[in-house]
Amino acid sequence: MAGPRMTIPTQLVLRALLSEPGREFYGAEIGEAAGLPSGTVHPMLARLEGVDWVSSRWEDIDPSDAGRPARRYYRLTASGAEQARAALARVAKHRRTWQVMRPAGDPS
Amino acid sequence: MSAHDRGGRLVRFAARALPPGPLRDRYREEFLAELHGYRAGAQLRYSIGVLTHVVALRMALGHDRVPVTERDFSRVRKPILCRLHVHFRTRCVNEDGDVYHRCHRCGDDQYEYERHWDENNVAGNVAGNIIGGSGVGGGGVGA
Repeated sequence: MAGPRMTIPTQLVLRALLSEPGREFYGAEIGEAAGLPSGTVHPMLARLEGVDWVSSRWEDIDPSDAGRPARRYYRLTASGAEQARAALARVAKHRRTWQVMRPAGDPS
Repeated sequence: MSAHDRGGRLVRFAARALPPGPLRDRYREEFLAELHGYRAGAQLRYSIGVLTHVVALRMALGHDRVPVTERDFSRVRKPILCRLHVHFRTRCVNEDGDVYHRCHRCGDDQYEYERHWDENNVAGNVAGNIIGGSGVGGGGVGA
């Protein structure tokens, strides 16, 4: 299955999830970890979920006991974590290649 | 109205841009749950963020386009003249050798035994014959 487009926000989300691969995060938490404004994270998570890099589930709590509604938690799947690492490595390699090719003193 | 109510309203409104059904319900509940964790000022900021990115979410969920079949059927409308019983028929013969007349605009079939004068399609028959010319006009005046 083709992976998602590795835009900079997608990379930030993946890095945030890969910081603790086994941990579950809720959407707003991922946004804060990635340094992205609210609302931008969910479309990316939906794409990542669509390609099975990420799975999600409802928090198993009793809202009346917890005093808040149940959150939706996201985590990287095992294959998703592997593919995300590979994709981020590819992007980093491409960036390094571009920096080497760029003439010295070129500000772009 | 408190900031939480305003934020909740905005989030519910944003969720309405998503396709109706379980996906919409899921994201509405998810946004409301996340909204709950913020302080008053941040709740409004969060809600506006959700509202401004809901179209992106809809696209990410693969509902940015109307399905082909639905789109095509929604555009198929009977031409106005056909709705007024003014058809543009051509003579056809089916596999059994029965003669029928098919309107090349709306696809309506009319068999020989159906072609008769009646109160409802007099205007259509006449107008169809005038507009379509002989052999194409609707109804068949002399049938």
